[in-house]
Amino acid sequence: MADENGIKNSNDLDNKLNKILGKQSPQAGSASVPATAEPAKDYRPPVVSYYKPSEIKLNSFDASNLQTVVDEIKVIEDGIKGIIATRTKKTIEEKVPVEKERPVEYNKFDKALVSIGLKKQKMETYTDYDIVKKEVPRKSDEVVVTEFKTMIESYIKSLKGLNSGLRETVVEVDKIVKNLTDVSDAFTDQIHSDRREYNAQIQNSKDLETQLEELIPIHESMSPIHDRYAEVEKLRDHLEMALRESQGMELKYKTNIDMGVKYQAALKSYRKLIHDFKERGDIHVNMVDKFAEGASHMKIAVDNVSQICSGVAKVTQSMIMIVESIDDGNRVLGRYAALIGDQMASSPQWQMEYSALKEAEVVYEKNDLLRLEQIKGNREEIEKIIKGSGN
Amino acid sequence: MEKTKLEQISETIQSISAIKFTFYIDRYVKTSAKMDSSLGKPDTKIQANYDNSREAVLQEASAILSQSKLSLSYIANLQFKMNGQPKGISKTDEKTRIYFAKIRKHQIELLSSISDEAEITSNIIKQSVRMRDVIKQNSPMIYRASNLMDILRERISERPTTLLRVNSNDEKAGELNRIFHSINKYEDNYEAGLRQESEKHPAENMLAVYYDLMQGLREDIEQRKLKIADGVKELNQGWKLLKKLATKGYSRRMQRVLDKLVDKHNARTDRFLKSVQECRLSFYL
Repeated sequence: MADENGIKNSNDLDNKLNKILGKQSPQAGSASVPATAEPAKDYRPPVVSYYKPSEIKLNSFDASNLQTVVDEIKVIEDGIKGIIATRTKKTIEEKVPVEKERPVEYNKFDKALVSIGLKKQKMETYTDYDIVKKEVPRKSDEVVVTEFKTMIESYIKSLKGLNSGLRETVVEVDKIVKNLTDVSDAFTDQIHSDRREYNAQIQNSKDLETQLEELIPIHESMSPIHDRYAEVEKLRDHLEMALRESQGMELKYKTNIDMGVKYQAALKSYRKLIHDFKERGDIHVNMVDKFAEGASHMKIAVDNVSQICSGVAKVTQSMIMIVESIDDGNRVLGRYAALIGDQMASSPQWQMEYSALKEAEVVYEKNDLLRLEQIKGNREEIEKIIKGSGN
Repeated sequence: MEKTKLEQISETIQSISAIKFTFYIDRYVKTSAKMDSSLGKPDTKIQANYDNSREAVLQEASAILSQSKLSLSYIANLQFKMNGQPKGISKTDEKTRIYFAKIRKHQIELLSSISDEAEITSNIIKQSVRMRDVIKQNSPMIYRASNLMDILRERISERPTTLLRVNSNDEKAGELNRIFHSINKYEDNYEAGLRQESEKHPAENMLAVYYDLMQGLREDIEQRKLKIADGVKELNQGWKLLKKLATKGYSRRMQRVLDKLVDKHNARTDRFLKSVQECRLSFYL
């Protein structure tokens, strides 16, 4: 009966033990534990309760969004560089083969002959290299993005130049309009005086014509023997010549008047054209002033944008580095934990893994230091930008 | 007939030469054409050539003018005196007298016409100087202004500020936006007008008017030059005849030339009187 009791007692004990063990390690409990739990030959320390495998899973947060931002900034930068590259050229020096002539090198004997004059010094052509400066188009990777700022600045300068040129032109055009008015008035005065003279001349001619009309019948009817014939003939001659001269003057006045009128018409249309220029010019000067103002504001905007872009790039870079560091750290922790979980404590593989991990830990610390430095540097730059844009 | 007087007149008439005048006029026409076509870019060499040729023409024209006026005064005082009383009315003598009078008139008319043409040519050239100076002074500025207008017109037609806007609540951004807006409004208002105006090419049109005017004057001068050259030839022809009539008298060999000259003279006087009448009419219209 005692045997039966003893077996029954040990069974009870086993059950109790099992129950206790089961509480402490559910895995151990759930595993198919033989009814008689025989302690394993190799002892494994109990699984530590703080080890929750779900904690140390590689929890990578998605850095792909940040990467997209960096990629976008890179696209903008590349675009800007491309624009600058197409608009500017660089000068490179190039070695260009050039044919030149030089005297042939003779030996001592021949040289003596040449100096005496018995032998002629021959020339030979050889290829020399000249350094030539050439302008070549640039590739976008050769461009630095700060050149964009300089481009905007030179755009503003040229706008200012355009405006001052336009302003000067408008002032000069005004002077021209005044001068043309004077010239046109002078022509008008001339035309008027010519017309008066012409009129007077016509009157003169008409007087002479009437005189002749009276004289000619007398002359024709007079006989050559009449004592006054010579006088009459001379008078007629004189009148006819005076008439011819007077009529000649008429033609001259008329030609002058016609020319003056043509010139005046041309001047009038010229003056109108210039006056129109002046009006448009005035309007334009005002507008170009505004353009230049706008451009200087654009410069500020561009400054801000480029600062923001570089600031964002730095922030993003820092965040990516932090994420990478977390990733690396996670990996190391995970391996350690896995090792512990695998209970390979006294196997030689354990030693290898353990030392590999120690090395990895060292590397991680070194990288971390570098990353910390870089993150610190980025932070300082951003602070500078913030201070700069705040001013 | 006093031989010395005749010799004097011969000298003066023969000194009227159209050769130099023709040469100088041709040169003037060339240099003034070159001058007009290069008004936009002042060139000292072209200017010097033009000035020289103009001076030469004016000098030569005034020489012709003075010589022909002198000849005119001599011939006006030249009276036909037959050896003896004007009563020996032989047919030849009669013809001599008649033709002498006619050819004398012919010479007088020719001399008047030559001197008129020379004077008018001088006037045309002198008047054109003033106009040419005005255009020459002003056209570089006009070209520059028109270039600037073209640049602005191109810029505006690209309409770069249409969609320009900065999205920010910043005060500076707001100012920038206002400026862009007013630039855009300006472009809307003026773009069409500017484009139409510049399509009319105002600067070129104006200069085209001037070129046409100057070209017309040059053609006019050339016509007068030809008239003077022909006139001088005819003058010499007529004077030879007149001298012969005065010294040797009429001979039948002269008849054909005499008739030709008399016809030309009549045609010339008719033309002259007609143009005087036309001028008077157009003046009073």
